[in-house]
Amino acid sequence: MVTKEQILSLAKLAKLSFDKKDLPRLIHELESMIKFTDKVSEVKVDFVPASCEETHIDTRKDEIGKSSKREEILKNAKNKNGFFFINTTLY
Amino acid sequence: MITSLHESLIKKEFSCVELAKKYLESIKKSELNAYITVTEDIAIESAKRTDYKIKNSCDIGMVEGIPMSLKDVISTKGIRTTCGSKMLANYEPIYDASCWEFLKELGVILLGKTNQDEFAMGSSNETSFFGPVKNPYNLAKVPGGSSGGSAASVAGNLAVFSIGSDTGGSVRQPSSFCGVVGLKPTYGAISRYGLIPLACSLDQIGIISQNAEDASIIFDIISRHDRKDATSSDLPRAKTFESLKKDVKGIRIGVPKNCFEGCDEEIKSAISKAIEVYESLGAKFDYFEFQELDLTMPVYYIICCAEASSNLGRFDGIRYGFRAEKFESVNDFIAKTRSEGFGDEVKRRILLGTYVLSSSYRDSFYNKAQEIRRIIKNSFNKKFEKYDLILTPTTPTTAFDFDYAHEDPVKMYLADVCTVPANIAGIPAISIPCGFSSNNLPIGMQLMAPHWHEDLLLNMTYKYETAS
Repeated sequence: MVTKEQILSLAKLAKLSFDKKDLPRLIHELESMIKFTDKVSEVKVDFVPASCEETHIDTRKDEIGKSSKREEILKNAKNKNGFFFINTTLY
Repeated sequence: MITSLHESLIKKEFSCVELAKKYLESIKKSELNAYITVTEDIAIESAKRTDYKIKNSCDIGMVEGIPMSLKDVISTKGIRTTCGSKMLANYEPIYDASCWEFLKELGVILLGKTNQDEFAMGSSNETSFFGPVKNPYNLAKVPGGSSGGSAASVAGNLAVFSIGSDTGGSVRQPSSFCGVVGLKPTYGAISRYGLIPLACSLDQIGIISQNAEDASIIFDIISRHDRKDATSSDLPRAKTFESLKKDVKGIRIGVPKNCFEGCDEEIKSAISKAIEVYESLGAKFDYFEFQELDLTMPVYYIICCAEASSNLGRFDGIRYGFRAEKFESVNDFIAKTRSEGFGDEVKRRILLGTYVLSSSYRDSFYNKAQEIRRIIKNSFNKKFEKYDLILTPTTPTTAFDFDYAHEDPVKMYLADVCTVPANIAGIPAISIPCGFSSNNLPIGMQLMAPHWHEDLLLNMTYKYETAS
């Protein structure tokens, strides 16, 4: 059973905001998804090492390499003046 | 198709510009909505360079001048890359994805970036901010997803081949719905550098093509070690093209009976006929129960949503992408940007991912799912001691209507029930067209192989294409 408070707490953690009118729909959808995934909690497992891919990780040396240009990095930012910033708007 | 186009270009039966223009004209006339961005100028410029080389009797490589498309989740320097989302509607990457770089340096012609479900979350291509893609075989049906635009572009003759991404079936499921070949390689075979991630431990770049030969040519080019992706394997790769025509006599194929439960009768019948074709080529079949099948979907959605909720944390509107206009504080700015920039399915999955990673539920959901993932992987390893390949339907149904799962998102998730296991185990799998339903919709079958056996998958696909 998902509560309104739980949804609001999850939204805060996930940095999302929702209209109050959408909460009943979200509760219904999240309950349905949790019910769908809850099968895993019924499975009894003895110790099993948690899975990760068995790919050999070829780590690179920790050395200074080629970097992107400041203008390129800022290309997609809406507010910029040589750096990223947000215009705070007070109402 | 690639080899015949290559020969025609060399023999000057038509120019590369003429070929590119033919595809660009078809894209303009198409009703499929397969492309988000058409790169006409870039395509024509590349084609002119190829024509110049041909005119001056320079050698051109097999894929030079071949028109192709890229899923819009793959970064292209200076070319809009949207992920099918309002969040990135005007985003232009400052670097190329490795898979695209490898193809670009060989002179392929990029026709454009294909439509997809938003951030690759969906199985119908309905969650795209740029509108749904239509199935080339029936405009009232979905093309599948999330690489729906890529599959539709190949099936609708709007590209020779396409590069997509496959997290739980996103290359194979739309390939099945659109009647084309869809290859998801072994995890680590193709660099994910520049692929905007959904779930890093499941994502893999895949290839959509008209046939096995084209998929083989492209796989042999883009499957290579890349230091820019730490999970890119440095193991030597078998050249799949050399194995395409090998004899398949004696190949042992296991068929999990329970993968056919709930499947359309016409799909069962088409796959039975395909099995007969393989038997006539000397393959041996055996049937078994895939005991972990019921667990694969819950495990997939827990891991996928957990990784997605973390990966999508980067979208805050500060450095790039959509940003909210009205806000009261920095936190409010980020929350409003994300809430207005993401669609419903993305927000649903972020919420579920946050839920399963939260301190109260992490052990019972996320950690448990990781343990079961290992059990599923071990189960596949055991099966592959007995069988060379595993055969299933790609999907339990043919392409469905739009709005099929409007009321219940979980109904849509079940469209991937047969494709998800390969992503969980990191093994390669391929969807092969194997007939049509009575209402003329394509049917696909799936073959799964042990790690690094793409050569066998493509060999079996080629043999089926030539024998059926």
